[in-house]
Amino acid sequence: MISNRFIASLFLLLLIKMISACSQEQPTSQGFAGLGAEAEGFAQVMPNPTITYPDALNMHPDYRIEWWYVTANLESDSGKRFGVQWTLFRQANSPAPQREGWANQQLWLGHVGITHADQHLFAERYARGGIGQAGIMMPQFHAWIDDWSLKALDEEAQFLAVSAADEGFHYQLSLSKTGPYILQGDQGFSVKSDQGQASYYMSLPFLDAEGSITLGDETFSVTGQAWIDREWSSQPLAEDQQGWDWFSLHLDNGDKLMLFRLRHAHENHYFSGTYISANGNAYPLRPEQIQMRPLTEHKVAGRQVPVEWHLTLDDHQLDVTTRPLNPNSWMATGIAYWEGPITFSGTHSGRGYLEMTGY
Amino acid sequence: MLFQRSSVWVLHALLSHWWKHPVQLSTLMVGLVAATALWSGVQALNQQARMSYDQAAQRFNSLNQAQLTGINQQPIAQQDYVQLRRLGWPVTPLVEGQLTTDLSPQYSFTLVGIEPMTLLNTESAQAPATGLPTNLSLNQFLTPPWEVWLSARTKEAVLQAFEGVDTGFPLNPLGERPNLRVSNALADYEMMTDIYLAQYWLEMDQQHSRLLLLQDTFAQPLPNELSSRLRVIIPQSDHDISRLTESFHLNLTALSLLAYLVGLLMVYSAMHLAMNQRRSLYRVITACGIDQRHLMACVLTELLLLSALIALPGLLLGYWIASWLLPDLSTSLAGLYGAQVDANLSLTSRWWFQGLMMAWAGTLLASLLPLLRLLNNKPNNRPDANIIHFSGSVGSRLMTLALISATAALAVAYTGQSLLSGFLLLGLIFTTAALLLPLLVDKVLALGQALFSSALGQWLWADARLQISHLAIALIALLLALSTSIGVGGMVEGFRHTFVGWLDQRLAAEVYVRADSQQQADELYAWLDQHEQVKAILPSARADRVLHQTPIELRGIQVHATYVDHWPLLSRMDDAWSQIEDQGAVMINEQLARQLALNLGDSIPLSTDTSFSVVAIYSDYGNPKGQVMMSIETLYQHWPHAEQGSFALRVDPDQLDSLKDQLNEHFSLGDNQVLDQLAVKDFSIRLFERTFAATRALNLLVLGVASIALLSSLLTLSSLRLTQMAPVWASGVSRQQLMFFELMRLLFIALITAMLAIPLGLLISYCLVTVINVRAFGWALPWQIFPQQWFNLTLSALISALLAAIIPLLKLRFSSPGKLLKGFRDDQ
Amino acid sequence: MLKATGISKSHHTPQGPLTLFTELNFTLNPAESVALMGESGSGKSTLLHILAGLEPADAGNILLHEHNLTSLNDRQRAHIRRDYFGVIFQQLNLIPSLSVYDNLVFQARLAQRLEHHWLDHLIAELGLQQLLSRYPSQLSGGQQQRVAIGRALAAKTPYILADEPTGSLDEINAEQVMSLLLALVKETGTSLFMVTHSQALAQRLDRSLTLRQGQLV
Repeated sequence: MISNRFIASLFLLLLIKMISACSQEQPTSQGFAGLGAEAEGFAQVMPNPTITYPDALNMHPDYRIEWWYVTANLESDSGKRFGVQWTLFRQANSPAPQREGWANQQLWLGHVGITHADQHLFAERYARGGIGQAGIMMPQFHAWIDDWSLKALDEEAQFLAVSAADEGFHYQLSLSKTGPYILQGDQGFSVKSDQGQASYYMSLPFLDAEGSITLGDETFSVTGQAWIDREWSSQPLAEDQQGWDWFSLHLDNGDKLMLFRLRHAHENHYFSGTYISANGNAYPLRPEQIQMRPLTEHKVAGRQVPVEWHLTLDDHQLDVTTRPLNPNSWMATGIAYWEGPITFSGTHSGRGYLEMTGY
Repeated sequence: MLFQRSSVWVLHALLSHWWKHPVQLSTLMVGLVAATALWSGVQALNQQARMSYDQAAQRFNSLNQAQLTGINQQPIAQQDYVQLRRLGWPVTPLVEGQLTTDLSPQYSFTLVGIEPMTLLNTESAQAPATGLPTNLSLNQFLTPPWEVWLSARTKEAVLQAFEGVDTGFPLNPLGERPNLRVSNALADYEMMTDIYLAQYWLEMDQQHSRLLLLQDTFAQPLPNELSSRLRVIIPQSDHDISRLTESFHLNLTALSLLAYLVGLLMVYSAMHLAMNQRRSLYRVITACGIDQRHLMACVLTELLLLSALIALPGLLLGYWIASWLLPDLSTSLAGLYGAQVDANLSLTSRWWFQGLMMAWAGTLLASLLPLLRLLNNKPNNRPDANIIHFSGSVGSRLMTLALISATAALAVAYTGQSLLSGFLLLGLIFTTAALLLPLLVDKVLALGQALFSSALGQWLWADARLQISHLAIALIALLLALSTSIGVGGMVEGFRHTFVGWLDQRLAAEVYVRADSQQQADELYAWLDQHEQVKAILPSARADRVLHQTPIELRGIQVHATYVDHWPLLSRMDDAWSQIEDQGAVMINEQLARQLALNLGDSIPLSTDTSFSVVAIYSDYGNPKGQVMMSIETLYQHWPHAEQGSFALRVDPDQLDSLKDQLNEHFSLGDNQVLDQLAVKDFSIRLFERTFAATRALNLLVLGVASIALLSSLLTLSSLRLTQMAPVWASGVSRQQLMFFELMRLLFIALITAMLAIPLGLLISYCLVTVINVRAFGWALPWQIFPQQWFNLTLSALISALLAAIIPLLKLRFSSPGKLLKGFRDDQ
Repeated sequence: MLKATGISKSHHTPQGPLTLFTELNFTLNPAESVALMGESGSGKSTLLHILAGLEPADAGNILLHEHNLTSLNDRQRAHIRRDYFGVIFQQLNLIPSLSVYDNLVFQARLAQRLEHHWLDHLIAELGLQQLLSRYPSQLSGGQQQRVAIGRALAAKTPYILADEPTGSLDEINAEQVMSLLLALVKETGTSLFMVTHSQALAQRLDRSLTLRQGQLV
C-alpha cells in the first residue's frame, strides 16, 4: 500500500514535470511520439546506403531511434485466425559516446499483441540499456527485453524464433525465410517527408511462421506468414507529421505490398510504398502512384479510427478493400495506437497487417 | 448574536471565581494539563512513528510490499536482477542508504535510488514514444547531470554541501552538480535519484538493496541458483508489520486514554464543585438581567477560553514527554519489528489542533453533568451542600449502571476477537469498577458504623460516609491508577520473569559463531573440532519458505542434549525429540501455531511432496514471524540449498574468553560473527526494558495524577470539613483528636480503595496477558502474581493519601477557634 | 407603572398541584412604595419573582409601560429586568468572587448605564467608601445588604423589588439598612415593592398588601 502511494506520488511528479515541459514547447511540434524531434549530435540518415542482411539486424546506437518489428498472420488447425505482433524499440536519450552500466543512455521498449476475432491482448515492457536487461547480440542475432526474445537460429539468420509472454498469454513462433530481404525506398533510404526526413528501412516479407499460441488455459498450434521490418533513423518524421497509416500485405498470388501514408497537420499527406513480386523484385512506388482512402471509421478507446480502407495502385492494376480481423485492435500502451491483422479483397485478396498511429 | 457587550462583564464575574478559588483552579489545571499532556504526548509518539513508516526511507520497507531481499541482508547483485527480469519476473531494483556530509553542520540524508523505467511500467499512463520515453522529465532524470528530488529544506542542506566538495557526494561521477528538484512528496533529509547516482554515492557498484515485486500475484518459484541468495517476501494482509506496530501503538493509546480519563475525573471534580459554588452567582447574574441562554453561552465561552489556555502548557508538556520517550520507543520498534522511527520529533499543526480539540472535548465532557444541572437551576433553588448518600436512590442507580456495564464486559469477553475488543473489555471492567467503588466503600463504612455504638464512633463512621460523596471522584481516579499499576506492573514483571527464563533455556550454548561462507564454515568446523575445550559443535541451517502467503523461517538443528534439556517447549509429545531426530518431525513456534491453528499431531505442508508432523510447540518471544524447527538432516534433505547457519558451541565457561581470542586471531571474524550467550541475553533484556519503558513511565504518570486528584479533593473539602467538625469540637473533642480521626479516616478510605484495586488489578493483568498480548503480539504469557507489588502500591496509596492530607490537617491545626465557630453563624 | 392582572400560579408537588394564588390584580405606581406581607409559604416570594420575570406565571398579564412581560421570552424578560428592575434578595445577593466595587457596578455595566457621579453619591450615602476593594465574604451581613441596595440603585432602574432585604439582619443593622433604602428610594423617585414579615416595616411604606389564601387583601 505504501509503495503504491509512493508510485502514485512519483507519477504525479513526472506528470507535473511533463505538463510543464509540454506547455513550454508546442506539443504538436515534435510530431507523433516525439519522432519529429531535432536530432542534434546523432548520426544522420543519408542517401545511397549499403545495407546487407543479416548485418541490418544489428543495432545502430549512433542513431537516435530504431525498431525490430514482427507481424504474423496465423491460423490454427481448427481454422481460427490470429494476428501476432512483436516489437522492440530502442531510443537513445543522448548521442554517443555510450555510457556504461546504469548510466547508459539507451532506453528499450517492447510491445507485443495477440489478436483474434473476439479479443485483442497486448503488453509492454520498459528497460534500460547497459546492464543486459534488454539489447541486441550479434553475430548470431538476438534481440530481447526481459523474457521476450527474437533470435536467429543460425548465423545467416535464415531461421528465427520469436517469443513473448505476459499475464494470460504467451506465444512461440519459428520463422523461416523463404525469399530475399527487401530494401525499401531507394536501396533502403526511405524518405518520409517532402522536407527530406528519412530512415533506413529493410524488410523480410517472405517468412513462413509456425508455432503455438496460449491464451489462458488454451493452446493453439498455428501456421501462417510473417513479416519483419527493420528501420533506424535519427529524425524519421517531419515536425508537422502527426501519425501514419501503414500496411504490409501478403497477396494470395505470392506478391507482397508495403504502403504507408504520413499525415501532415495540413493535408498534403506523404505517400510511399513498395510492390514486391513473388520472386523478390522490388518496385518502389512514387507518391502519386498510391491512393489510400479510409472507408469506415470505428470508435475504439474513445477515438474514431478508420479500420476499413480502399487501396488502389493503378500501375499494378490493384484495387482492394481491407477489413480488420478485429476492429478493436487498440494497443493501449504508453503511446497508444491501432495495430492488427486485416484481410483484403477486390482485384487481389490476401492477408496483412495495418498500423495506424496518431489518432 | 449571543455575544454582547454585557457578556464581557458576565465573563468577568464568571472567571473571577477561579482567581478566588486557586485550589479549584489548580485541580482543573492539573487535571486538564495531565489529560492533554499524556494524551497528546502519546499521539505525538504515534504520529512520529507513523510518519516515519510512511516516509521514503521506509516507504518500500513495510512488509506490506512484496519484495525480494538478499539472504542475510546481503545486497543483491545486478546480474541477479537482470536474470530475474529475463525470466519474466516483474521486479524493480532499489538502492537505499544513508549519506552524511563532512561539513559542519553535519547532515545525514536518506537516499533512495530508483529505476523509473521498470518501477513505472505497470500503470504507465504517460508515455514514451513509439514507445520510447522522450518526455523531458524522464530524460533529465536519466541523463547527466541527473536529478535529485528532495524537499526544500534538504535542498538548502545539499546546496551547502556542494561547497568545498571536489568529488563524491553530492557531485555526480562526472564531478558536476546534479539538478536539484524540489518536491513536497519527500520528507526532509530524504532524497530520491536515479539508481545509477545512488549506486555511485553509496559505493554499491553493481549492487542493489532490494527488488520490489510489482505483482503480488506473481507466483513462480525462484530458480534454484537464485534461491540460495535471495528470498521472496510476500505480504499477508493480516500478519504484517503495520498490524504489529499498530497494536503496539494501540497499547500506548489505551494507556494514554486512561490517563486522559483520570485527568478528566479531576476536571469533572473541579467543575462540579465550581458550578455548585457558583449557584448564587448565577442567581445574581440572572436577577441583574441576563437570560439563561446568554448565561449558558457565557459559561461555555469561559470553559473554552480557560481550557484553551490550560491546554497550551499541556501540549508543551506532552511534547516533552514524547521527546523523552521517543528514543526508547524507536529502539524498541526497531528491535521488535525492524521498523525505523526517526528519533527527532517533528510535529504537524494537526497535532496541535487535535490536542486543543481533545482539551476542549474533555472539558465539555467533564462539565456536561454540572452544566445540565445549571440549566435546571431554578432561581428559587437554594444552594445546598450537595451531599449524596450512596445508600439511597443514587446507589441503586449506580448499581444498575454497574450491572449493565458488567454484562457488556462479559458479552465482549465471550464474543470479541480483535485487539480493539480486548481494550473495550478493559474499558468496561474499569467502568464497572468505577461505578461500584463508592457503593462498596460506603458499604464497608456502614459496616463499621454498625459495629461501633459509641456516640463518637457513630459520628466517625457516619462522617466518613458523608465524605465519600466528595471524595468519590478522587477515589475512582486512585482506584484506576492503582489497578492499572498492578495490572501493567504484573504483566511486565511476569513477562520479564518468563522472558529471562526463556532466554536462559533458549541460549543454552555458551557461544554462537557464524561463518561468512561455506568455505569458512568448513574451516571453522575443522578448527573447532580440534579444540578440547569445545565440548560440542552444533551446526544449524536455515531456509525461507512462503506458507499461505506468509514468510516463515525453517531452522535445522542438530538434536543434542543442549536442546533436549533446555529448549523452552510449551507443549510436546512424549517422544518429540526422538521423532525430530529420526522421523523427520518438526516443532513450530507459538506464533505459527496460533496463526495456522496447528496442534500437536497436525501436519504442516511445507513442500509440495511432503507434510511434516508437528510434535512440539515452543515459545518464541519477540519474533514476529512463524518458525519451524527440524533436524538439520531433515532440512538439508528437503532443502539442499538451505543456508549454513551459526554454530552453537558448548564450551567450558572458564575457557570461553581464551577460545574467543583464539577464534578471532585465527579467522579475524567480525563483531557480529561471534556472539556469546551473555551478550545476547544482555541485548535482549535491554530491548525488553525499552519496550516497556514507555508503558511504565505512563503508568507512573497516571499514578501521580491520581495522587494529585486526591490532594486537590481534600484541599477543596478542607474548608467544608471545618464547619462539619465544629459541632464535634464544640461537644468536647480536641483539635488534636479531630486531626487524628481525620487522618485515620482518610487512610482507612485509601486502604479500602487499595484493597479493591488489587483484585481489579489482577483481573486487568489477566486480561493483558491472556487477551491483549495474544492479540497484539501473538504470544501468550503465564499469568503470574506479585504480592510484593501489591504491598508497594498499597503503601504508595497510603503515602499519597497522607501527603494529600497534610495541608488540610495543618489548616485544621492552625485554624482559630473563631473560624470553627463561624460554622455556627454562617453555613458558607 | 407596573400593572399585574389576573395572575395565577401553582407549584407542582409530589402531592399534586399546590395553588399559590389565582387571578391576582395589582398595580405599582411610579415613586410608590408597597409592602407585601403574608405567612410563610403563602407565595410572596413567588409573586416577586413573577413580577421580576424570574419565573413565569401560569396565567395573567404583567404590563410594564408598553411591554407585556408575560408575552415575552426569557431573553426579552432578562433585558427588561436589566433596564427596569433592581432585585434584592434576603441574602447571597453578591457575587462572592467580585470585589464590592465590581458588585456595585455589575448591573449598571450590564445595562450600560454607569454614571460615576451618581455612583460616588451612592457609595457615600451607603457608607461603602472604605469597603470597595473588599470581597463579600469579608463583609458583615448588613454591609452585604447595603452593597446589594447600591447595586440595584446604581443601575438607576425605576423599580426595586426586594425580598425581605433585612430578614437576615439583627435589629440595629436592619433599621440602618432599611432607612438607607427608603431614603434613597424617596430621593430617586424609585418605586419599591418589598416582601416583609414585619408589620412595623410595612407601615413605613406608602401602602401595604397581604397575601392570604391566594388573594391580595
